[in-house]
Amino acid sequence: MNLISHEFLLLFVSLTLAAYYWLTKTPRQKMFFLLAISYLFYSLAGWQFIPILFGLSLATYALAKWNKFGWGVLLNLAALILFKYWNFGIENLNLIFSLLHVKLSILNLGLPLGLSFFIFKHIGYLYDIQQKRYSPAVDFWTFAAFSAYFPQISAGPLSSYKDTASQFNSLPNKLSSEQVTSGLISISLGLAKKILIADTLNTMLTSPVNTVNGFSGLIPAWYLVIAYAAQLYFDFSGYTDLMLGISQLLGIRLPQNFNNPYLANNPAEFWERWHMSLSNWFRIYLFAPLSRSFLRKWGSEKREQAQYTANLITMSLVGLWHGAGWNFILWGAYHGILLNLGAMWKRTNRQIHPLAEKSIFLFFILIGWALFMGQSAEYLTHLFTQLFGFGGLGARDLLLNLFKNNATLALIFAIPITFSGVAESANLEKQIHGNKFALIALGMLAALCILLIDDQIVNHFIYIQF
Amino acid sequence: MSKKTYTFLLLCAALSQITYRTYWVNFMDAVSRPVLHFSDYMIVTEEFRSLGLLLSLCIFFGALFFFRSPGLNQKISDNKFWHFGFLGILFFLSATVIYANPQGRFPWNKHANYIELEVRSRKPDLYKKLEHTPDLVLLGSSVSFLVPMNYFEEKWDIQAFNMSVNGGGPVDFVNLINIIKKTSPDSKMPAIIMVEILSPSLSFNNLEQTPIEYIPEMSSISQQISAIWKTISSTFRFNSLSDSLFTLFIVDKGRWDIVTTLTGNGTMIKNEEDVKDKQYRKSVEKDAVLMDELQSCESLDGTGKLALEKLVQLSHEYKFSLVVYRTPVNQDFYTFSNFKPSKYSGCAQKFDQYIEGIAAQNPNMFFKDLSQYSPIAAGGKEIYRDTHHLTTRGNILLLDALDNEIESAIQWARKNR
Repeated sequence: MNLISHEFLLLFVSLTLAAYYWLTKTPRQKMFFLLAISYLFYSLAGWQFIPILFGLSLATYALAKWNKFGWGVLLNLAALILFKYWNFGIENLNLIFSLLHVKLSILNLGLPLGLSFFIFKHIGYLYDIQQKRYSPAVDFWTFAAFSAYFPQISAGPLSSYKDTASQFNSLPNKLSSEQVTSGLISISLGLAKKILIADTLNTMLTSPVNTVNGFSGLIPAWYLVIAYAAQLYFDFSGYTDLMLGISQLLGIRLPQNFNNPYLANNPAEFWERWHMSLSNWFRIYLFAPLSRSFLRKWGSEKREQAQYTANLITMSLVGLWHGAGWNFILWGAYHGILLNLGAMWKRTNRQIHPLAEKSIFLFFILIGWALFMGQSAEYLTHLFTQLFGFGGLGARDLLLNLFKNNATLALIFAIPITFSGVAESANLEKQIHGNKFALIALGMLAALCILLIDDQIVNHFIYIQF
Repeated sequence: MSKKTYTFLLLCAALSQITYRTYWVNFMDAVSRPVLHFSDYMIVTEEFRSLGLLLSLCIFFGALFFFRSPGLNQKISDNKFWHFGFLGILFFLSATVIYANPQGRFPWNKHANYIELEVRSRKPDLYKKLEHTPDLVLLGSSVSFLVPMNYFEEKWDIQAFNMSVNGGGPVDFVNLINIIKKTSPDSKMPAIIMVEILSPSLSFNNLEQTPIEYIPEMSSISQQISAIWKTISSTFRFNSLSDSLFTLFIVDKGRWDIVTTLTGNGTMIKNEEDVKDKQYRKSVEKDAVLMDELQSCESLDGTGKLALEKLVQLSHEYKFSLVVYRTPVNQDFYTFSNFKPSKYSGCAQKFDQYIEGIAAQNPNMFFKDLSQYSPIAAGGKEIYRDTHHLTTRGNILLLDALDNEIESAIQWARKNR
């Protein structure tokens, strides 16, 4: 189901909320209702993948109960590899085997919605139980509801079983006015970010302009990269705000995923502000065990090397997580190098002007997004040639075309909003509490956004594909 | 940044929007033309959407920066203010859409509908008003709007009715047959049904289909539910709002005469003034993407196939002969765009194989693929209005090309009814 459609917003969410508060009374009933509605939501995205979600949830729950944590992790990883990375691996092997005239066949399995998100929740659960961080799930149904919880399943935010499932025991019959307002603010902000900015920028980024033959010159190249950086942020943080708001109206608080990432001063801070729940996951479940194992192997005198190597491996895998493509791996490794360079710079104790520091870092982030947006090697080569000025400034007609486009209008608004520090729902909520005009404006905004939705045009959230 | 800087940026944004409009819409050209064609009012709609976007962006900006409270951690009493804004604007705007009913989705017509979508509800109404059942009924898409039905009387001495509707596809045709069956004046079915197929994929999802589906004569409950839902969701769209404003303030006040005229036999009357080369080329280029979508497919649409088979089944049940044909694609579509004819041959082949298979098994069915018929396809602006819509002259050539099939269908009907 398209999350930005009248069908989802006016029908699915409204009916779910109405039934949730009118038909169910006890927390247990509500939990079962959430489980049923989450599976209904999942089936609308592809009913054939229901057995995958159910089977993996059941296996994870059972293997954790029997203390077979390694098997649980292996099973989940096997499913992830099979559905998400198998074809990528085969395509690369075929390139090598083509010399031997051997061709392995591609599997057309399709990608289940939110596969990597629910699998990461499962792996986190198995690891936490093994480390005795909290007790295992009391019953399978609570675990299944945690695994399939619909505001989370498409693209996160990732949360631990302890944080989310513990709230299933105290699901409210009535929400306070503050909770409702907070949820509605999140929804309004999420819709505005997605519909007004991300989707408007998308019209330019998916147009023939953003192709190898579509643009040339320094200004158009930077325009496209900046537009892409803004689109990614507004699209994904818009999704998060929308889902946080819906979840809050169901009485469940999910973790924040963004904290003004483009205000970061250095690579480490960026990853504390961008896709926070995924960064945390990789920090806890991959980086920490990895660096500990390197330390054990190499000794404490090689602490820095252990950190750098763990950074590089973790970030390359973060890249791979985003998609089965070399550009994503390259982007991840690039961020690993940036993190290491950032750590080295910090150790020198040198200081530069904060604005210069921010600007230099922002430049590197944008170069990273240029890697991320690479559709092909040919496109990447073209984009980087233009970004570094090897194609002139840009033809007059193209510049005029860019200027005339609605995307420019969206970008003019997007840039100050990005750097304002109030663009996250948590911050905004604090800022506008008690101001009735701001609340009316946000209500009007939500209504206008709903009026702007065109059900004929499907603009999925970008991170849903990851 | 200070509020002054923000205000300056907002002004820049507004300025860029105005510049954009000036470049985009050739305003002087638009006002100098007495009749606003379909493509032109689309521009009005898009303009309104852009202004809606600008308004929304300003409110977004305002809510973030201008209305924020100076004090933090203040308690709010309730969420009624959010509701006031949300429900207030939604109620006001949707009420306007429902009242104006610009797309004929609601069962009242206080104001003149100005868009061609109304054809979907007007054609069945016209059919009900006929004194006698016609010998032939033409089912098709907007491509067939200008087919002159009097020509059937001149050439084959039969009465004909044009029941083609916007975006008409196989599913609509089945619904229309049911309507014809129930509303034919002397309770008898026409002897011949002509079916125009625009898209070989048989999928018409990218075209507007709503109004006909909410006609009560529809066959399936799921279609009715989907039609009701489409009506509700279209009520909450900026496009409908702009259509409403256009209906209420421009069309209704007689400032723009673009209500489509239909004759009693369903033929549309259109002002076919001389089209300039530049204008014609623009129209072809504008529709190129749609044409590309309509012609492309990996496999034939399952629902479309079912509907076509249902149509054949109905032809036996009601004893009428079927003439099915594919319309010619304007060759200028390939000339003016980067699309190559070879891209579509796979889909076309699948369709031809499929339909020829059915025709071979059903003696009352006559099929002709005219998609590459060069006397029409290479005719340029004398024959085409854009990539696929034919002029009256083009339609006459098309009927001539179908002479054998129509003649055979008449013979079959005379023999078997």
